[in-house]
Amino acid sequence: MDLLRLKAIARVHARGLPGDVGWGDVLQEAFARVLNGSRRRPEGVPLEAFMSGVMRSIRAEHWRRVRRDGERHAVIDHSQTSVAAKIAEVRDPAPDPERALLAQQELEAIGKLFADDNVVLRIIVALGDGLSAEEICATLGLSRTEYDSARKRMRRALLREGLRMRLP
Amino acid sequence: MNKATPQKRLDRILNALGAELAAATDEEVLAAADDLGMKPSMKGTVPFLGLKHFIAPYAPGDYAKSSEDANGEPENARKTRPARDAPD
Repeated sequence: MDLLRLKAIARVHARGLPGDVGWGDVLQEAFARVLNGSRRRPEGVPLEAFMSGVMRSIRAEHWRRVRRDGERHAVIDHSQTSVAAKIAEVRDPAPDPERALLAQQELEAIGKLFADDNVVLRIIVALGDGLSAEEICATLGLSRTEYDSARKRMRRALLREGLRMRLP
Repeated sequence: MNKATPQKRLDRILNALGAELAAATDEEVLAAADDLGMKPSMKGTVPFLGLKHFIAPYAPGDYAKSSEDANGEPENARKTRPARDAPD
């Protein structure tokens, strides 16, 4: 049962990653980090929550590595420009267009996943805005029961999506 | 107006959805599997599908070594049926 849950979590964290990085890679890397001891589960933290955190780190590290590689190439490509210009370019916080496009596509895909549940859809949008559970309830006018009920539907849809028999 | 980039919004949503799934109960997992007509309790089915190497990496060389006997003769050589004489 744990593995089924972890697969569904890996599929969530692999969303928006480039095509050559699948959910299987994210899950394998998370197992590898735990098995080789580079990540240790703190006492009292449930396995699934811990593994979700590891996969979240893997996703973030992937994008940091992509960004670093892009910056290195930018410096090499512009080897004739001044040192100051190079530094300015390296520190340019402009968003990565590829990542922005992938993110936009994934946001749309998540929207489609919950298209028939308006309450869940509005909660997802609010999560994207960075609102807490209390803020979401207040903003959307939901009682705590309605909010928890919507979360349950959300989990069911995510699990269904995560368990579908698609190879990574 | 929220000025967060699509990447930032996606990160927030995925982190929240990952936490939701981590909190899913066994009953919820079973119910979702049931929706898809899956039987997770059956061996060799859904849970391991898609995993390339769980626990240990695939290393066929190791298996070849372990299947040789003390004289270095491959295990399958012993199982080979002896050649039968031609019928009289």
